[in-house]
Amino acid sequence: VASGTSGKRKARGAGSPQLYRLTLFVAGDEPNSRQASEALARLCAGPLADRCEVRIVDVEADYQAALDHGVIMVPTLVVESPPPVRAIVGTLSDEAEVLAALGLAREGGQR
Amino acid sequence: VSDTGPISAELRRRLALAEAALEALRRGEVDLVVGADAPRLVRAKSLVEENERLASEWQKTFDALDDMACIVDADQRLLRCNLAMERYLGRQASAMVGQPCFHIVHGTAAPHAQCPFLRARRSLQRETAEMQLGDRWFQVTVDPLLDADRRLTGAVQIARDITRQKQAEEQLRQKTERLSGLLDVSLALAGAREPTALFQTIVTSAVRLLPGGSAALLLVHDDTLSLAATVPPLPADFPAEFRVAALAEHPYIGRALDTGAPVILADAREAELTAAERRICELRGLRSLLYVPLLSQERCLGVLIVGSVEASHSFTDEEADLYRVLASHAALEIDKAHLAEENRQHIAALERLTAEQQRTEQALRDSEAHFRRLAENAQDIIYRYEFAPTRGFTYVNPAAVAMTGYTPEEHYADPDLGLKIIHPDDRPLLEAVAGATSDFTRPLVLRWVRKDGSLLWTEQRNVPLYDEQGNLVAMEGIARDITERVKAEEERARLQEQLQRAQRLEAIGRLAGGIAHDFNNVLGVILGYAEMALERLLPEDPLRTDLEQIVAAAQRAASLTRQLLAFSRRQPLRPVAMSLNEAIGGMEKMLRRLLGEDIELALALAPDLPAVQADPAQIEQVLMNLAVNAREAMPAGGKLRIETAAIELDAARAAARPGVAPGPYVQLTVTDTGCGMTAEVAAQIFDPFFTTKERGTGLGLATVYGIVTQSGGSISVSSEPGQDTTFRIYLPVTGAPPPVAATQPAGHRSPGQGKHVLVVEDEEGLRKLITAFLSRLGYRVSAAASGGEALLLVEEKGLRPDLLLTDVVMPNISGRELVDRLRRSQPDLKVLLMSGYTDTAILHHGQLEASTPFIEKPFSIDRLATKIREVIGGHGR
Repeated sequence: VASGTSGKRKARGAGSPQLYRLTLFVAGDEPNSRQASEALARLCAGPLADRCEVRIVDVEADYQAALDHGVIMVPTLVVESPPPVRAIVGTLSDEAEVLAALGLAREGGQR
Repeated sequence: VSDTGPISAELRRRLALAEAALEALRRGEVDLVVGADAPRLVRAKSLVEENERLASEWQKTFDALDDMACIVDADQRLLRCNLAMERYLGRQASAMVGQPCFHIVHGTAAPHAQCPFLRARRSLQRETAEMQLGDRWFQVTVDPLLDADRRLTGAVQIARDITRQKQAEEQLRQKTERLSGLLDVSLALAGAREPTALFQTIVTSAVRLLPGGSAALLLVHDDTLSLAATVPPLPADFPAEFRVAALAEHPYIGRALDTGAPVILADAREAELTAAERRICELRGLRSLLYVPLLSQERCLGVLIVGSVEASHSFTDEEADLYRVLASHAALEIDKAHLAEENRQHIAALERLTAEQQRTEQALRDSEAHFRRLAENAQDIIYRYEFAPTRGFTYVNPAAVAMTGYTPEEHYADPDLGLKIIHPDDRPLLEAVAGATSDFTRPLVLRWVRKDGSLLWTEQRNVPLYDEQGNLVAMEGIARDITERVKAEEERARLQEQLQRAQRLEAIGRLAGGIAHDFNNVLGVILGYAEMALERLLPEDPLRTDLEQIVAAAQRAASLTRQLLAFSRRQPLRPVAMSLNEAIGGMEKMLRRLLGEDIELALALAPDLPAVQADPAQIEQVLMNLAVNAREAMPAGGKLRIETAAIELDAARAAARPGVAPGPYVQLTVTDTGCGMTAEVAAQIFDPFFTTKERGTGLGLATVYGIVTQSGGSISVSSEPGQDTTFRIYLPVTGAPPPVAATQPAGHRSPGQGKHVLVVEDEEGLRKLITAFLSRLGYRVSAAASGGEALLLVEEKGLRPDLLLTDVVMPNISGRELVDRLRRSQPDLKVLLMSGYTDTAILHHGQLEASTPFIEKPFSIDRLATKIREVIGGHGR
């Protein structure tokens, strides 16, 4: 995750033609934001490998971006595509939930 | 809201985001919160901490409430509740959350009907209600919770325990009720005035304060209790002996009365009750009793017993106080009733007294009016004179004006008028009476001087009035005008004196008359024999001169005795109807000669003077004697006035003269201007032999007196030394006309012509003289020494005399009787009476009937011869 106003990481999943454009709004190095970044990194490295384009926005640096995206709590992961636009608030520590929100519920599930 | 369309999708997305955000926030997964309004960032951590702090504070606050509080959902399922609720219900909140609160609180399957939630659900506003849970009261407030669309999502319910407040309210209500009851009681008590009604009202009022209870009123009299009233009424068969009891037998009543405070018996069944109390408690089912003393000004009037039937009911102090108030009211009213009763009795007594007093006062007023009227109308003066505090009259009746000329007001104005009015000579009498030792029982006779200066005699009776110290403070009295009485007494004294004088003169007259009678007979004999001797002597006989001297002396003596007889009214009068004026006129010449040149005679004779019945010769004697008397009184000359007048003597004036009857009189007044005389001399002027002259006989005025009184008249004299002297003579008027003066034939001695004369005379000398004399005149003479002897001669010896010559006054048979007897057998017997004086027993008032021939002793021989000739010759029978 790059620091700065904006950053894009392209990752493409091999088995999925669907590209996920994800924007994670974080608050500097705050614990929840770090956890969310790490969780997103695990997703991008895992289930969303090669099929995600991730932008990380530090709201402390870019406040207006958060307002533009209707983000009221940080960290929040905004799923910009595929539509509909969705937002997942929190540390993204429940991977299954995040995947469900992304519509990528693991088949057979991890139970 | 439609869930189609981009806006709603976006909304849903946003909502979902918000929800997720909130969830994340709750999970603590948020670092920052982006302020939408104000561009700022908020650290989520601090937010959460703040939130937790707030939540903790809120919970603490929630739990800190004493009131039970809970939050329910729209179906009243419990969401949260505070500690107070947990405690009240004795359950953990976690054990109750999710259950409907009505189930938790009321144990019911449906909300309580009074639950304000039901109303709040409709009104969506706060609703409250007071609800009872068991023995506690709660005020329940329900605030509905609404969502953005004002849909009910739940409610906040708070229940505040208001049990104490309710109790206080209840107590207040009860207190108010009781106070109101007390007020009613007071009004009722105040309305009852009659004791019996009041007692009943007291017990009735006591029961009103304790519905369903009983009450009894016992009155204390000394050591005894008596049942005065009960509610409800006692049964008819309640023993009479239970109605009265000794105070000592009642420990609770005794304690209540001793302490003056109510005594509460919580359980009557365990108390030591008297038989009567127990009977009543059983009768009424009473469980607790209250004894309230009735005190009035520290005095025990009685006790009020209140009984409650409620098993759990024990009288509270408050109730006891209430009854104490009632009892004090009742005591006050009993006192008032007693006072009112006493007042009534006092008023009744007062009214009786007042009526009595009014009657007494009326009687007094009547009496006073009565006496005042008596006093006002009295003829006598009635007065009251006070010496203290101020001296003066306090009452004088109107009679004072008539009696004295001074009005009562003048008496009031002048304290000294009472003394001033008294004649100066009599004032010491009154002053003496005012002394302390005076005898007030005797009337005081005083002379008063009227306002006009005239004098009146009064008789005063004074009654002294003393104060407690014995000082004379007032004098009450009556003064009567006794002037008339005094005058009458004076008049009576004068009359008495006159009567005494008349009686004295009468006595003297009898004496003189008696002597004169006998002396006359003696003189008659002397004269008779001397005259007969003279007739027998030759003219040249030397004895003739001696005999003539004897005859002259005897005739002088006879004149004297005649005067004596005239005074003694025993001389025979020959009264005829005569004119006094004619008698005076006939004497005028002779009187002038008698009086002499120095004395003027004035006659004032009333014309048409009525005739009087009198002896003319005696009247001439009267005038002559009065003229002689006057002449002696006027030695230096003067005036003699003779008046006549016709007057009418009324009863009063007639009464002033003894022996005079009212009627018409002729008044003869003889007044001289001589030296006058003293009262002493005047008193004796008519006494025989009383004289002020050196040569007087003392018989002149005595003779006048005798003639006038014998003629039915009266004589008085008024004179003072140096003043005129007036003799006033009243002679009664006669109805008979004055007779024509008859000429009497001259008497000649002539022979008796053999006529038979019976001579009756007890005096022997005179009888023999008459017999001898008549025999010489040629009469046949029979003589008797008494009436009886004469009767003997006529009736036994058959003597029939032509003439009876008899003395009138004789022993045994009088001359008059003798005449009557002899005329029975010889009606035509001629009679000639002879007497030295007239005896009233025989001759009516000394006056012989004019028709009966009469010759007075001593008589001369010639006069007897003439008289006998007249009688026998046909003059008289």
